Amino acid sequence: MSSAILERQANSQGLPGLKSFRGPFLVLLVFAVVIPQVHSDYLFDAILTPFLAISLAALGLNLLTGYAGQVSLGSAAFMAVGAFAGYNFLLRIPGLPLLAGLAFAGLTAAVIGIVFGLPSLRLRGFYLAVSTLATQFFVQWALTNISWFSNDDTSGVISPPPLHLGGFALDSPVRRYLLCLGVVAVLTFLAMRLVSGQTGRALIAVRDSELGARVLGVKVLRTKLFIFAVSSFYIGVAGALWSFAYLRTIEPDGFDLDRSFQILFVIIIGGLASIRGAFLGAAFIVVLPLLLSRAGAILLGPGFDSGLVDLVQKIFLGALIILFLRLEPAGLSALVGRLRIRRNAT
Amino acid sequence: MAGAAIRLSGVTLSFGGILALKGVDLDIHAGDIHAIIGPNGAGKSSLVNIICGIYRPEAGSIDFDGQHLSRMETGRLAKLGITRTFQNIVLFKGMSVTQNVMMGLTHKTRSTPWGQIIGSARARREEAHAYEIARAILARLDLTQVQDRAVNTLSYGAQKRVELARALIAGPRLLLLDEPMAGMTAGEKVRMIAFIREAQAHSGVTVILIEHDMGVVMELSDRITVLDHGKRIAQGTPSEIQVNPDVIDAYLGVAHADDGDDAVLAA
Amino acid sequence: MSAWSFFFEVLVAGLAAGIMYSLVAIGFVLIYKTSGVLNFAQGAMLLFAALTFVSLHERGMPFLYALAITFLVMVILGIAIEKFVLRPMINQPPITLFMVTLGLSYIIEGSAELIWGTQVHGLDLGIQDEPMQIAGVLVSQFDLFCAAVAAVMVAALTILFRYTRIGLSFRAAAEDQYAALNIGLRLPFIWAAVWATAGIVALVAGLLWGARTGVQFSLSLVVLKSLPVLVLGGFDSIAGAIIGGLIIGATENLAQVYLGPYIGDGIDSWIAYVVALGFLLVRPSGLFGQKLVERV
Ligand SMILES: Nc1ncnc2c1ncn2[C@@H]1O[C@H](COP(=O)(O)OP(=O)(O)O)[C@@H](O)[C@H]1O
Ligand SMILES: [Mg+2]
Repeated sequence: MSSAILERQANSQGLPGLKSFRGPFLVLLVFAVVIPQVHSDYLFDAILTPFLAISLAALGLNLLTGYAGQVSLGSAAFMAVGAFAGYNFLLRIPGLPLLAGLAFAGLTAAVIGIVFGLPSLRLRGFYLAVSTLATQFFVQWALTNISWFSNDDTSGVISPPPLHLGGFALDSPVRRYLLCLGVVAVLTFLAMRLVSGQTGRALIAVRDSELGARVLGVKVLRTKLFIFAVSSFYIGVAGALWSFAYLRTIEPDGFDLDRSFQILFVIIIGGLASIRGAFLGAAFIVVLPLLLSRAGAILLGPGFDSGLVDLVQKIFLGALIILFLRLEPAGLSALVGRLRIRRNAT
Repeated sequence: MAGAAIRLSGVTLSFGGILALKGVDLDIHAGDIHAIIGPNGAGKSSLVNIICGIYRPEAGSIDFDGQHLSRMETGRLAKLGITRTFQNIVLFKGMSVTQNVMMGLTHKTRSTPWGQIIGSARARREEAHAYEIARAILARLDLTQVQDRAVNTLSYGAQKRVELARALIAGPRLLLLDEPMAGMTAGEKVRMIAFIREAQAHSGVTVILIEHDMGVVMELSDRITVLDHGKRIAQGTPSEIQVNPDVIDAYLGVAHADDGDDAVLAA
Repeated sequence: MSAWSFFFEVLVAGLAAGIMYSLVAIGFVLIYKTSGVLNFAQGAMLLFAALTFVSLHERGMPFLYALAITFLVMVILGIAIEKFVLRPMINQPPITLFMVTLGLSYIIEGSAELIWGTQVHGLDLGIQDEPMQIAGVLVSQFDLFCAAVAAVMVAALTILFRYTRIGLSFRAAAEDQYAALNIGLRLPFIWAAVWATAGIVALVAGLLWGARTGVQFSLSLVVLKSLPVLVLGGFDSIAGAIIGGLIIGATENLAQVYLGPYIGDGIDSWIAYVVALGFLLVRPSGLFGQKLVERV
């Protein structure tokens, strides 16, 4: 590997520096202005909205795992907390604006994140990873078994309230998509700012050498809890968007361990410690199943067994994880970075 | 800022029953370059780690700059003005050289994360200032050429210098250097000696230097402490140490199997 | 029935379940001890073994033949994983290797079901499961059998580690990989052997678990039951895996029976984690894990 590439890699793994936000802004423009012209409910409902929610969750996990090095296997639990908290706030406080509901959803997840982040003060590596599973199982159990959270609804499947934004009904796929886009854009911008400053460096320092960070005066414990809170906030908001804008139902089942792994896979494939990586990885993970089932339909004819496709997809995903970890540990983000260097060079 | 004095008294440390330090006294004068020498496993690094609060001594106390402490707190080191380099390089490999060096100013940060996100005046001022003096110190240590590279792409010797830059950036009062020249070429060593000298002359910082190369030790240090098997066997000026019979015994008498070939009195 | 004998029955049933967890945990410990990899795919290997055996047996292959072939398959699988997946990734940080095994578990689970189908199979090992009265407490024969198997396995592994040449190399490799390489131990061979052994352990655990719960996809989830055991016992201690398993199994069952009515159903999904976590906060390196001071 040439040193130019390594350099880029370090920059994408580390900090974007004070580079302009022009590139991301152009991408945002395309997503906000050009894409909504497309008339396809399927595109917004089945692809773009889940893509944005997953991206946001992955962004949150990347702050925690990619930047600060704290591996979490419990992301889905925080999505669930966000979804249920958002639901309950909107339900129980009449007239609460939607954005405030989302913010409260994130804050609730952040509080839970701090509580379940406490073990990180004593535990490292595998011990911490396993302890985050406690979050996963406990939260899922609590949301299933304590009926207050689902407003004593016995069916187990509850619907979010109709979504309004300042008198504007978010009642079409495009509008729900635009809500997600707006929220994700703002939070992404804040995250980019966060990681490019002193705090961002402190996160990476804690990841790369806790001892070194401590010797230099980084408040390691505080930094860890801080990033647990921020990460959980992001993931909580992502969970609320996922339920409100994409699924249109709220249930604990969708936020299981497989979802947690999925978010983890997104950041591995997209690129650890990379904001861009969260989006690239999410795009990959959301589109892959659609492509595979298309391929299945073409190869096996219309009556193919969808269970079979699921299995193939599973194997495929597992293989991809291994391949990425082995061949491109910095993920799609690094690949894209290299392509850009090459293009600039020619 | 002037250098600080530090004194360790009766420091004892063990790992799982193995005594690494046995009642060691260490008296370091403000503004000195004080070398600690001794064969591998003598307890030199352990002593530095105790000063950093990384290892906890079972007995003994520390006087730093007039404060009497039974134990140091790692998190407060930087505030006290104590910085260090590590025997096995500790750099943040996900960052560039400049960013690594900027980390040396962590304890001076006053801006909040939120201030940094929205770009408050204070956050921007701090960031610009940190960047600027990081660049300046990198220039002083001849690292300008590599200042934007990922730190783990640098040569070993250059990485050691980045560590030194990070330790110097905040203007420490006590600088701990654990084998800063190990693995360096002769040319690199000469430059490193010049850097340490210059830093010392520049700010009067007290330096504790662990080093195996006796030429370097004799040339740089004002005073020397000799450790062997966790005990202090001598302390004095270079010329006193050179003729100290215990030191000559410990080094030239083939007393220990673990001395290694680096424990030769070269001077 | 008196409250006490009921208590003892709950306790014994819990201990028995704990042994089942230990059986899985031992597979983890083996690999962790020698190569520092936390092998999340252990559960998938267990599923693969049980499914292969049952499918061969159901297709008319005699018990012993099916066992022998599955044995071979698992040895080959273990060696293949080591050689083609993990060896090329040597020197990567442990957490990366962990994620690799996560990917591996997806591949193995998917393949197992792709090859053998997704239906549930019953598995009869020909062991009676009638409760026996021992000292006034009812104990299941099958549980006793599992305990005996676990004991034999631990004894065999102990002998292997302590008294054979290869076992000594295992231990040397565990102590210090570089030193082991320097004194000329053939680490790749050792790792391959360890993975093969882990495959065999997965087979044993898979058969017992399969006989208990039926052979189906959820078998691979037993890995989630054994993780708290590992946390409690330390990732590198076989004794810890056994004792951790017993503690987790017992507390889990007791909590379920005595606390369940107050807290709610299904607390077994997390109670083990809470026990392990509470314990960890007091002893961060587990019951038997070594306490190390980071070298600086
Ligand atoms: N973190 C540690 N854990 C266990 N033993 C240690 C640790 N650090 C140092 N030791 C032991 O303490 C003794 C002194 O080591 P050290 O201070 O590193 O010596 P030196 O720096 O003089 O070579 C050695 O026997 C070493 O093995
Ligand atoms: Mg040393």
